[in-house]
Amino acid sequence: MGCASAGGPESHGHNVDPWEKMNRGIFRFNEGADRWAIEPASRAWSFAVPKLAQQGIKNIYDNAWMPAVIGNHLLQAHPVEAFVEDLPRLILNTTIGLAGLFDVASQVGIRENVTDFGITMGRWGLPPGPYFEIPLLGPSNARDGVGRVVDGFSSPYTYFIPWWSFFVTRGVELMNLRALYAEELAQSKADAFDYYLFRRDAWMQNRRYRVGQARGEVAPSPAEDEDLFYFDDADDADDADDDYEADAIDRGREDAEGGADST
Amino acid sequence: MSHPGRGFSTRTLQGLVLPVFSLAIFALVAIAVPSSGAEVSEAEKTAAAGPRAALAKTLDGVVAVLSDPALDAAQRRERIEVIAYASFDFETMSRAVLGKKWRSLSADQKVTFIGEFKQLLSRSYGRRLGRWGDEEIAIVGDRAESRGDVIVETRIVGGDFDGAAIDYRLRKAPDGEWRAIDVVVEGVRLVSIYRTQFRDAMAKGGAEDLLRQMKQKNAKAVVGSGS
Repeated sequence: MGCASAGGPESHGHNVDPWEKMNRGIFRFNEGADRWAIEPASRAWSFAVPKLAQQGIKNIYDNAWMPAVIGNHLLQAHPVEAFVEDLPRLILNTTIGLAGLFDVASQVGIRENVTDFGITMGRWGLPPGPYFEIPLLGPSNARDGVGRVVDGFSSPYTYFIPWWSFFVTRGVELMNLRALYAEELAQSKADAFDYYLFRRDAWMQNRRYRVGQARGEVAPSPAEDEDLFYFDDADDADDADDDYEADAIDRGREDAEGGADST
Repeated sequence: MSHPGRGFSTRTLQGLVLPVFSLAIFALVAIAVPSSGAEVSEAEKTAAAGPRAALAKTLDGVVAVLSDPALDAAQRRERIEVIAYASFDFETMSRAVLGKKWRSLSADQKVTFIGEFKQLLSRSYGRRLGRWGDEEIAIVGDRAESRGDVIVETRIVGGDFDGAAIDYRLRKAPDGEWRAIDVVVEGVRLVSIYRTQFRDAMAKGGAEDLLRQMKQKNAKAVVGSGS
Protein backbone atom coordinates (compact mmCIF):
# COMPACT_ATOMS: atom_id res chain seq x y z
CA MET A 1 0.00 0.00 0.00
CA GLY A 2 1.04 3.55 0.42
CA CYS A 3 2.32 4.31 -3.05
CA ALA A 4 0.55 6.41 -5.61
CA SER A 5 -2.70 4.77 -6.55
CA ALA A 6 -2.69 2.98 -9.85
CA GLY A 7 -6.23 3.49 -11.04
CA GLY A 8 -6.81 6.67 -9.13
CA PRO A 9 -8.83 9.68 -9.98
CA GLU A 10 -6.45 10.72 -12.73
CA SER A 11 -7.77 8.08 -15.09
CA HIS A 12 -10.29 10.44 -16.61
CA GLY A 13 -10.52 14.04 -17.54
CA HIS A 14 -11.23 15.24 -14.07
CA ASN A 15 -8.78 14.75 -11.32
CA VAL A 16 -9.64 15.94 -7.83
CA ASP A 17 -6.25 14.93 -6.49
CA PRO A 18 -3.58 16.00 -8.97
CA TRP A 19 -1.11 16.40 -6.12
CA GLU A 20 -1.64 12.87 -4.88
CA LYS A 21 2.03 12.06 -4.79
CA MET A 22 2.88 15.06 -2.67
CA ASN A 23 -0.27 14.61 -0.61
CA ARG A 24 0.65 11.04 0.16
CA GLY A 25 4.06 12.24 1.26
CA ILE A 26 2.55 14.79 3.62
CA PHE A 27 0.06 12.16 4.70
CA ARG A 28 2.90 9.84 5.69
CA PHE A 29 4.51 12.68 7.60
CA ASN A 30 1.23 13.42 9.37
CA GLU A 31 0.71 9.79 10.23
CA GLY A 32 4.24 9.62 11.60
CA ALA A 33 3.74 12.76 13.65
CA ASP A 34 0.50 11.34 14.95
CA ARG A 35 2.04 8.04 15.81
CA TRP A 36 5.18 9.33 17.50
CA ALA A 37 4.04 12.63 18.97
CA ILE A 38 0.37 13.53 18.89
CA GLU A 39 -1.02 10.17 19.87
CA PRO A 40 1.38 9.53 22.78
CA ALA A 41 0.85 13.09 23.98
CA SER A 42 -2.90 12.74 23.80
CA ARG A 43 -2.68 9.45 25.64
CA ALA A 44 -0.79 11.11 28.47
CA TRP A 45 -3.27 13.95 28.33
CA SER A 46 -6.12 11.49 28.54
CA PHE A 47 -4.54 9.86 31.56
CA ALA A 48 -4.05 13.13 33.37
CA VAL A 49 -7.25 14.91 32.42
CA PRO A 50 -10.65 13.36 33.09
CA LYS A 51 -13.12 13.00 30.23
CA LEU A 52 -15.40 15.62 31.69
CA ALA A 53 -12.59 18.16 31.77
CA GLN A 54 -11.64 17.25 28.21
CA GLN A 55 -15.20 18.00 27.20
CA GLY A 56 -15.05 21.28 29.07
CA ILE A 57 -11.87 22.25 27.27
CA LYS A 58 -13.40 21.35 23.93
CA ASN A 59 -16.34 23.55 24.86
CA ILE A 60 -14.02 26.48 25.53
CA TYR A 61 -12.39 26.08 22.13
CA ASP A 62 -15.73 25.69 20.40
CA ASN A 63 -16.89 28.87 22.07
CA ALA A 64 -13.75 30.75 21.07
CA TRP A 65 -14.52 29.89 17.43
CA MET A 66 -18.06 31.22 17.61
CA PRO A 67 -17.19 34.75 16.41
CA ALA A 68 -15.83 33.14 13.25
CA VAL A 69 -19.01 31.11 12.88
CA ILE A 70 -21.15 34.22 13.26
CA GLY A 71 -19.06 36.12 10.74
CA ASN A 72 -19.28 33.30 8.24
CA HIS A 73 -23.01 32.91 8.63
CA LEU A 74 -23.41 36.61 7.93
CA LEU A 75 -21.17 36.35 4.89
CA GLN A 76 -23.21 33.39 3.71
CA ALA A 77 -26.37 35.48 4.01
CA HIS A 78 -27.72 33.29 6.78
CA PRO A 79 -28.66 35.96 9.33
CA VAL A 80 -31.15 33.75 11.14
CA GLU A 81 -28.46 31.27 12.15
CA ALA A 82 -26.13 34.11 13.08
CA PHE A 83 -28.56 36.09 15.23
CA VAL A 84 -30.99 33.49 16.52
CA GLU A 85 -28.58 30.64 17.19
CA ASP A 86 -24.91 31.63 17.09
CA LEU A 87 -25.03 34.97 18.89
CA PRO A 88 -27.22 33.86 21.82
CA ARG A 89 -25.02 30.78 22.10
CA LEU A 90 -21.87 32.86 22.29
CA ILE A 91 -23.37 35.23 24.86
CA LEU A 92 -24.84 32.50 27.05
CA ASN A 93 -21.79 30.27 27.05
CA THR A 94 -19.36 33.12 27.58
CA THR A 95 -21.23 34.50 30.59
CA ILE A 96 -23.24 31.85 32.41
CA GLY A 97 -21.12 29.12 30.85
CA LEU A 98 -17.95 30.63 32.30
CA ALA A 99 -16.00 31.54 29.17
CA GLY A 100 -17.38 28.56 27.35
CA LEU A 101 -16.47 25.85 29.83
CA PHE A 102 -20.10 24.78 30.12
CA ASP A 103 -22.26 24.46 27.08
CA VAL A 104 -25.31 26.11 28.59
CA ALA A 105 -26.73 26.93 25.19
CA SER A 106 -27.16 23.30 24.26
CA GLN A 107 -28.88 22.67 27.58
CA VAL A 108 -31.53 25.21 26.72
CA GLY A 109 -31.89 23.85 23.22
CA ILE A 110 -29.88 26.27 21.08
CA ARG A 111 -28.43 24.39 18.17
CA GLU A 112 -24.68 24.37 17.72
CA ASN A 113 -23.61 25.30 14.22
CA VAL A 114 -20.30 24.76 12.63
CA THR A 115 -19.19 26.57 9.54
CA ASP A 116 -16.08 28.18 8.16
CA PHE A 117 -14.78 30.45 5.45
CA GLY A 118 -14.15 27.57 3.05
CA ILE A 119 -17.87 26.86 3.12
CA THR A 120 -18.61 30.55 2.73
CA MET A 121 -16.55 30.65 -0.46
CA GLY A 122 -18.17 27.45 -1.70
CA ARG A 123 -21.59 28.84 -0.96
CA TRP A 124 -20.93 31.67 -3.41
CA GLY A 125 -19.68 29.39 -6.12
CA LEU A 126 -15.95 28.99 -5.64
CA PRO A 127 -14.94 25.43 -6.60
CA PRO A 128 -12.92 23.41 -4.10
CA GLY A 129 -9.83 23.07 -6.26
CA PRO A 130 -7.35 20.25 -5.82
CA TYR A 131 -7.30 18.13 -2.71
CA PHE A 132 -4.52 19.21 -0.40
CA GLU A 133 -3.13 17.53 2.69
CA ILE A 134 -1.91 20.18 5.13
CA PRO A 135 1.09 19.26 7.27
CA LEU A 136 -0.06 18.47 10.82
CA LEU A 137 -3.61 19.53 10.05
CA GLY A 138 -4.73 16.95 7.53
CA PRO A 139 -7.35 16.98 4.79
CA SER A 140 -8.11 20.16 2.93
CA ASN A 141 -8.26 21.58 -0.55
CA ALA A 142 -7.05 24.75 -2.17
CA ARG A 143 -10.17 26.71 -1.31
CA ASP A 144 -10.61 25.47 2.23
CA GLY A 145 -6.91 25.80 3.02
CA VAL A 146 -7.19 29.51 2.30
CA GLY A 147 -10.39 29.49 4.34
CA ARG A 148 -8.57 28.18 7.37
CA VAL A 149 -6.11 31.04 7.27
CA VAL A 150 -8.93 33.57 7.08
CA ASP A 151 -10.76 31.84 9.94
CA GLY A 152 -7.55 31.90 11.94
CA PHE A 153 -7.48 35.67 11.76
CA SER A 154 -11.03 35.91 12.96
CA SER A 155 -10.31 33.87 16.05
CA PRO A 156 -10.00 35.79 19.30
CA TYR A 157 -6.76 33.92 20.00
CA THR A 158 -5.08 35.84 17.29
CA TYR A 159 -5.60 39.14 19.03
CA PHE A 160 -5.55 38.41 22.71
CA ILE A 161 -2.54 36.20 23.03
CA PRO A 162 1.05 36.47 21.77
CA TRP A 163 1.60 34.87 18.39
CA TRP A 164 3.70 31.95 19.61
CA SER A 165 1.14 30.83 22.12
CA PHE A 166 -1.24 30.33 19.23
CA PHE A 167 0.67 27.16 18.51
CA VAL A 168 0.41 26.10 22.11
CA THR A 169 -3.34 26.59 22.24
CA ARG A 170 -3.81 24.89 18.89
CA GLY A 171 -1.62 22.06 20.07
CA VAL A 172 -3.71 21.61 23.18
CA GLU A 173 -6.90 21.80 21.13
CA LEU A 174 -5.72 19.10 18.75
CA MET A 175 -4.37 16.88 21.47
CA ASN A 176 -7.59 17.20 23.37
CA LEU A 177 -9.67 16.28 20.35
CA ARG A 178 -7.34 13.43 19.56
CA ALA A 179 -7.96 12.08 23.04
CA LEU A 180 -11.73 12.46 22.78
CA TYR A 181 -11.97 10.62 19.49
CA ALA A 182 -9.13 8.13 19.91
CA GLU A 183 -11.39 5.12 19.62
CA GLU A 184 -13.16 6.19 16.46
CA LEU A 185 -9.87 7.07 14.86
CA ALA A 186 -8.31 3.72 15.63
CA GLN A 187 -11.38 1.94 14.33
CA SER A 188 -11.43 3.85 11.09
CA LYS A 189 -7.78 3.13 10.47
CA ALA A 190 -8.31 -0.55 11.16
CA ASP A 191 -11.26 -0.70 8.78
CA ALA A 192 -9.70 1.15 5.89
CA PHE A 193 -8.00 -0.63 3.01
CA ASP A 194 -6.13 2.51 2.14
CA TYR A 195 -6.50 5.05 4.88
CA TYR A 196 -5.33 7.89 2.68
CA LEU A 197 -8.09 7.29 0.13
CA PHE A 198 -10.63 6.59 2.81
CA ARG A 199 -9.98 9.85 4.60
CA ARG A 200 -9.65 11.88 1.44
CA ASP A 201 -12.95 10.74 0.00
CA ALA A 202 -14.82 10.93 3.28
CA TRP A 203 -13.54 14.44 3.83
CA MET A 204 -14.35 15.62 0.30
CA GLN A 205 -17.85 14.19 0.38
CA ASN A 206 -18.56 15.73 3.73
CA ARG A 207 -17.35 19.15 2.56
CA ARG A 208 -19.43 18.96 -0.57
CA TYR A 209 -22.46 18.08 1.50
CA ARG A 210 -21.92 21.00 3.82
CA VAL A 211 -21.43 23.48 1.02
CA GLY A 212 -24.68 22.14 -0.45
CA GLN A 213 -26.38 22.75 2.87
CA ALA A 214 -25.07 26.31 3.04
CA ARG A 215 -26.56 26.88 -0.38
CA GLY A 216 -29.88 25.60 0.82
CA GLU A 217 -30.00 22.59 -1.44
CA VAL A 218 -32.94 20.47 -0.46
CA ALA A 219 -31.20 17.17 -0.94
CA PRO A 220 -27.48 17.77 -0.78
CA SER A 221 -26.76 14.09 -1.41
CA PRO A 222 -25.40 13.75 -4.90
CA ALA A 223 -27.28 12.67 -7.94
CA GLU A 224 -24.50 10.51 -9.36
CA ASP A 225 -25.57 7.82 -6.92
CA GLU A 226 -28.18 6.99 -9.47
CA ASP A 227 -25.40 5.91 -11.79
CA LEU A 228 -23.56 4.07 -9.10
CA PHE A 229 -26.50 1.93 -8.20
CA TYR A 230 -27.97 1.07 -11.57
CA PHE A 231 -26.28 -1.50 -13.68
CA ASP A 232 -27.06 -0.82 -17.24
CA ASP A 233 -26.73 -4.18 -18.94
CA ALA A 234 -26.99 -2.55 -22.33
CA ASP A 235 -23.63 -0.83 -22.30
CA ASP A 236 -21.93 -3.86 -20.89
CA ALA A 237 -19.67 -4.49 -23.83
CA ASP A 238 -16.81 -2.98 -22.01
CA ASP A 239 -13.81 -1.25 -23.19
CA ALA A 240 -11.08 -1.16 -20.64
CA ASP A 241 -11.68 2.24 -19.22
CA ASP A 242 -15.42 2.47 -18.92
CA ASP A 243 -15.11 1.66 -15.29
CA TYR A 244 -14.55 5.31 -14.75
CA GLU A 245 -17.68 6.53 -16.41
CA ALA A 246 -19.66 6.76 -13.24
CA ASP A 247 -16.76 8.41 -11.58
CA ALA A 248 -16.31 10.93 -14.32
CA ILE A 249 -19.77 12.07 -13.39
CA ASP A 250 -18.77 11.93 -9.76
CA ARG A 251 -15.73 14.06 -10.29
CA GLY A 252 -17.47 16.37 -12.68
CA ARG A 253 -20.06 17.04 -10.11
CA GLU A 254 -17.39 17.46 -7.51
CA ASP A 255 -16.17 20.39 -9.45
CA ALA A 256 -19.60 21.62 -10.22
CA GLU A 257 -19.99 21.94 -6.50
CA GLY A 258 -18.56 25.34 -7.04
CA GLY A 259 -20.33 25.97 -10.29
CA ALA A 260 -23.41 27.96 -9.56
CA ASP A 261 -24.28 27.33 -13.18
CA SER A 262 -24.72 23.61 -12.65
CA THR A 263 -28.45 23.85 -12.06
CA MET B 1 -23.20 17.21 31.56
CA SER B 2 -22.95 19.18 28.45
CA HIS B 3 -23.72 18.08 24.98
CA PRO B 4 -20.98 18.99 22.59
CA GLY B 5 -23.52 19.13 19.82
CA ARG B 6 -22.18 18.48 16.39
CA GLY B 7 -18.79 17.27 17.31
CA PHE B 8 -17.25 17.50 13.92
CA SER B 9 -15.86 20.41 12.04
CA THR B 10 -13.13 20.61 9.51
CA ARG B 11 -11.25 23.17 11.51
CA THR B 12 -10.43 20.44 13.98
CA LEU B 13 -7.74 17.86 13.78
CA GLN B 14 -6.78 15.69 10.92
CA GLY B 15 -9.11 12.82 10.52
CA LEU B 16 -11.97 14.27 12.43
CA VAL B 17 -14.12 13.37 9.51
CA LEU B 18 -13.76 9.95 10.96
CA PRO B 19 -15.98 10.26 13.95
CA VAL B 20 -18.57 11.36 11.49
CA PHE B 21 -17.97 8.37 9.39
CA SER B 22 -18.06 6.07 12.33
CA LEU B 23 -21.68 7.02 12.68
CA ALA B 24 -22.21 4.76 9.75
CA ILE B 25 -21.72 2.04 12.23
CA PHE B 26 -24.79 2.97 14.10
CA ALA B 27 -26.45 3.65 10.84
CA LEU B 28 -25.71 0.37 9.19
CA VAL B 29 -26.61 -1.53 12.21
CA ALA B 30 -29.72 0.46 12.69
CA ILE B 31 -31.52 -1.01 9.74
CA ALA B 32 -33.63 -3.96 10.53
CA VAL B 33 -36.04 -6.53 9.27
CA PRO B 34 -37.81 -5.30 6.18
CA SER B 35 -41.51 -4.87 6.35
CA SER B 36 -43.84 -7.52 5.10
CA GLY B 37 -47.50 -7.69 4.04
CA ALA B 38 -49.04 -4.79 5.87
CA GLU B 39 -46.48 -2.25 4.77
CA VAL B 40 -46.62 -3.36 1.17
CA SER B 41 -50.21 -2.31 0.93
CA GLU B 42 -49.28 0.90 2.62
CA ALA B 43 -46.66 1.37 -0.01
CA GLU B 44 -49.37 1.59 -2.59
CA LYS B 45 -50.89 4.58 -0.86
CA THR B 46 -47.79 6.68 -0.84
CA ALA B 47 -44.62 5.73 -2.57
CA ALA B 48 -42.47 6.08 0.51
CA ALA B 49 -44.67 4.53 3.17
CA GLY B 50 -43.17 1.09 2.57
CA PRO B 51 -39.49 1.91 2.99
CA ARG B 52 -40.20 4.36 5.74
CA ALA B 53 -42.22 1.87 7.70
CA ALA B 54 -39.55 -0.74 7.10
CA LEU B 55 -36.90 1.56 8.48
CA ALA B 56 -39.02 2.54 11.47
CA LYS B 57 -39.58 -1.08 12.33
CA THR B 58 -35.89 -1.69 11.99
CA LEU B 59 -34.88 1.11 14.30
CA ASP B 60 -37.30 -0.16 16.91
CA GLY B 61 -35.85 -3.64 16.57
CA VAL B 62 -32.31 -2.44 16.99
CA VAL B 63 -33.11 -0.21 19.93
CA ALA B 64 -34.83 -3.18 21.57
CA VAL B 65 -31.68 -5.26 21.21
CA LEU B 66 -29.43 -2.46 22.43
CA SER B 67 -31.52 -1.68 25.47
CA ASP B 68 -32.03 -5.26 26.58
CA PRO B 69 -29.89 -5.56 29.72
CA ALA B 70 -30.06 -9.35 29.62
CA LEU B 71 -27.84 -9.53 26.54
CA ASP B 72 -24.08 -9.44 26.71
CA ALA B 73 -21.96 -7.75 24.07
CA ALA B 74 -21.50 -10.86 21.96
CA GLN B 75 -25.20 -11.68 21.95
CA ARG B 76 -26.06 -8.14 20.96
CA ARG B 77 -23.62 -8.19 18.12
CA GLU B 78 -25.01 -11.46 16.92
CA ARG B 79 -28.60 -10.27 16.93
CA ILE B 80 -27.73 -7.03 15.27
CA GLU B 81 -25.85 -8.95 12.63
CA VAL B 82 -28.90 -11.09 11.95
CA ILE B 83 -30.97 -7.94 11.55
CA ALA B 84 -28.37 -6.34 9.28
CA TYR B 85 -28.05 -9.43 7.11
CA ALA B 86 -31.79 -9.48 6.56
CA SER B 87 -32.22 -5.82 5.85
CA PHE B 88 -29.31 -5.03 3.55
CA ASP B 89 -29.07 -6.12 -0.03
CA PHE B 90 -25.41 -7.06 -0.02
CA GLU B 91 -25.41 -8.33 -3.57
CA THR B 92 -26.52 -5.00 -4.98
CA MET B 93 -24.02 -3.25 -2.70
CA SER B 94 -21.26 -5.53 -3.95
CA ARG B 95 -22.08 -4.80 -7.57
CA ALA B 96 -22.19 -1.09 -6.91
CA VAL B 97 -18.97 -1.05 -4.98
CA LEU B 98 -17.01 -2.74 -7.74
CA GLY B 99 -18.76 -1.04 -10.62
CA LYS B 100 -17.93 -2.54 -13.96
CA LYS B 101 -15.07 -4.49 -12.45
CA TRP B 102 -17.78 -6.71 -11.00
CA ARG B 103 -18.08 -8.45 -14.30
CA SER B 104 -14.41 -9.35 -14.37
CA LEU B 105 -14.92 -11.58 -11.34
CA SER B 106 -15.58 -15.29 -11.80
CA ALA B 107 -18.78 -16.74 -10.38
CA ASP B 108 -16.85 -18.12 -7.43
CA GLN B 109 -15.11 -14.84 -6.79
CA LYS B 110 -18.44 -13.05 -6.80
CA VAL B 111 -19.85 -15.34 -4.13
CA THR B 112 -16.71 -14.94 -2.06
CA PHE B 113 -16.77 -11.20 -2.48
CA ILE B 114 -20.38 -10.83 -1.34
CA GLY B 115 -19.70 -13.01 1.70
CA GLU B 116 -16.58 -11.13 2.69
CA PHE B 117 -18.07 -7.69 2.09
CA LYS B 118 -21.07 -8.59 4.18
CA GLN B 119 -18.83 -9.70 7.03
CA LEU B 120 -16.61 -6.70 6.66
CA LEU B 121 -19.46 -4.24 7.04
CA SER B 122 -21.31 -6.09 9.75
CA ARG B 123 -18.26 -6.88 11.86
CA SER B 124 -16.57 -3.55 11.77
CA TYR B 125 -19.83 -1.86 12.57
CA GLY B 126 -20.96 -4.36 15.13
CA ARG B 127 -17.80 -3.71 17.09
CA ARG B 128 -18.76 -0.13 17.67
CA LEU B 129 -22.04 -0.91 19.28
CA GLY B 130 -20.53 -0.64 22.71
CA ARG B 131 -20.46 3.10 22.27
CA TRP B 132 -24.17 3.39 21.82
CA GLY B 133 -25.53 5.65 24.55
CA ASP B 134 -28.70 7.61 24.91
CA GLU B 135 -28.96 8.51 21.28
CA GLU B 136 -32.13 8.00 19.38
CA ILE B 137 -32.70 8.03 15.68
CA ALA B 138 -35.61 9.98 14.30
CA ILE B 139 -36.95 9.52 10.83
CA VAL B 140 -37.40 13.00 9.46
CA GLY B 141 -38.32 12.53 5.83
CA ASP B 142 -38.05 10.59 2.66
CA ARG B 143 -37.81 11.21 -1.02
CA ALA B 144 -38.14 9.09 -4.11
CA GLU B 145 -35.22 8.97 -6.49
CA SER B 146 -35.83 9.07 -10.19
CA ARG B 147 -35.55 5.34 -10.81
CA GLY B 148 -37.50 3.86 -7.92
CA ASP B 149 -35.12 3.89 -4.97
CA VAL B 150 -36.27 5.72 -1.90
CA ILE B 151 -34.02 7.75 0.38
CA VAL B 152 -35.18 7.75 3.97
CA GLU B 153 -33.68 10.56 6.02
CA THR B 154 -32.90 10.22 9.70
CA ARG B 155 -31.27 12.35 12.37
CA ILE B 156 -29.47 11.40 15.52
CA VAL B 157 -31.11 12.92 18.56
CA GLY B 158 -29.00 13.45 21.67
CA GLY B 159 -25.48 12.40 22.50
CA ASP B 160 -22.24 13.50 20.90
CA PHE B 161 -23.59 13.53 17.39
CA ASP B 162 -26.86 15.29 18.01
CA GLY B 163 -28.40 16.45 14.77
CA ALA B 164 -26.18 14.37 12.48
CA ALA B 165 -27.91 13.36 9.27
CA ILE B 166 -27.98 9.73 8.21
CA ASP B 167 -29.74 8.84 5.00
CA TYR B 168 -30.54 5.35 3.83
CA ARG B 169 -31.05 4.35 0.24
CA LEU B 170 -33.59 1.57 0.07
CA ARG B 171 -34.58 -0.50 -2.91
CA LYS B 172 -37.51 -2.80 -3.39
CA ALA B 173 -36.29 -6.32 -4.00
CA PRO B 174 -38.10 -8.73 -6.33
CA ASP B 175 -39.62 -10.38 -3.26
CA GLY B 176 -41.32 -7.10 -2.42
CA GLU B 177 -39.12 -6.27 0.56
CA TRP B 178 -37.34 -2.95 0.91
CA ARG B 179 -33.68 -3.37 1.65
CA ALA B 180 -30.95 -0.82 2.24
CA ILE B 181 -28.20 -0.52 -0.34
CA ASP B 182 -26.36 2.54 0.92
CA VAL B 183 -25.88 4.61 4.04
CA VAL B 184 -25.00 8.28 3.77
CA VAL B 185 -23.65 9.92 6.92
CA GLU B 186 -23.41 13.71 6.70
CA GLY B 187 -22.86 13.41 3.00
CA VAL B 188 -20.31 10.62 3.26
CA ARG B 189 -21.48 7.69 1.19
CA LEU B 190 -20.55 4.27 2.40
CA VAL B 191 -20.54 2.43 -0.92
CA SER B 192 -18.64 5.17 -2.66
CA ILE B 193 -15.97 5.23 0.05
CA TYR B 194 -15.32 1.53 -0.30
CA ARG B 195 -15.49 1.82 -4.06
CA THR B 196 -12.40 3.98 -4.37
CA GLN B 197 -10.40 1.74 -2.08
CA PHE B 198 -11.49 -1.53 -3.67
CA ARG B 199 -10.89 -0.30 -7.16
CA ASP B 200 -7.47 0.90 -6.16
CA ALA B 201 -6.67 -2.47 -4.60
CA MET B 202 -7.86 -4.30 -7.72
CA ALA B 203 -5.83 -2.05 -9.98
CA LYS B 204 -2.74 -2.85 -7.97
CA GLY B 205 -3.12 -6.55 -7.27
CA GLY B 206 -6.18 -7.86 -9.08
CA ALA B 207 -9.33 -9.47 -7.72
CA GLU B 208 -7.55 -12.27 -5.87
CA ASP B 209 -5.44 -9.81 -3.95
CA LEU B 210 -8.47 -7.76 -2.95
CA LEU B 211 -10.27 -10.89 -1.74
CA ARG B 212 -7.18 -11.89 0.20
CA GLN B 213 -7.07 -8.49 1.91
CA MET B 214 -10.76 -8.70 2.76
CA LYS B 215 -10.35 -12.15 4.31
CA GLN B 216 -7.40 -10.88 6.29
CA LYS B 217 -9.39 -7.98 7.71
CA ASN B 218 -12.30 -10.22 8.58
CA ALA B 219 -10.06 -12.70 10.35
CA LYS B 220 -8.54 -9.85 12.34
CA ALA B 221 -11.97 -8.56 13.20
CA VAL B 222 -12.86 -11.90 14.77
CA VAL B 223 -9.72 -11.88 16.87
CA GLY B 224 -10.24 -8.30 17.89
CA SER B 225 -13.96 -8.59 18.50
CA GLY B 226 -13.53 -9.39 22.16
CA SER B 227 -13.14 -5.78 23.13
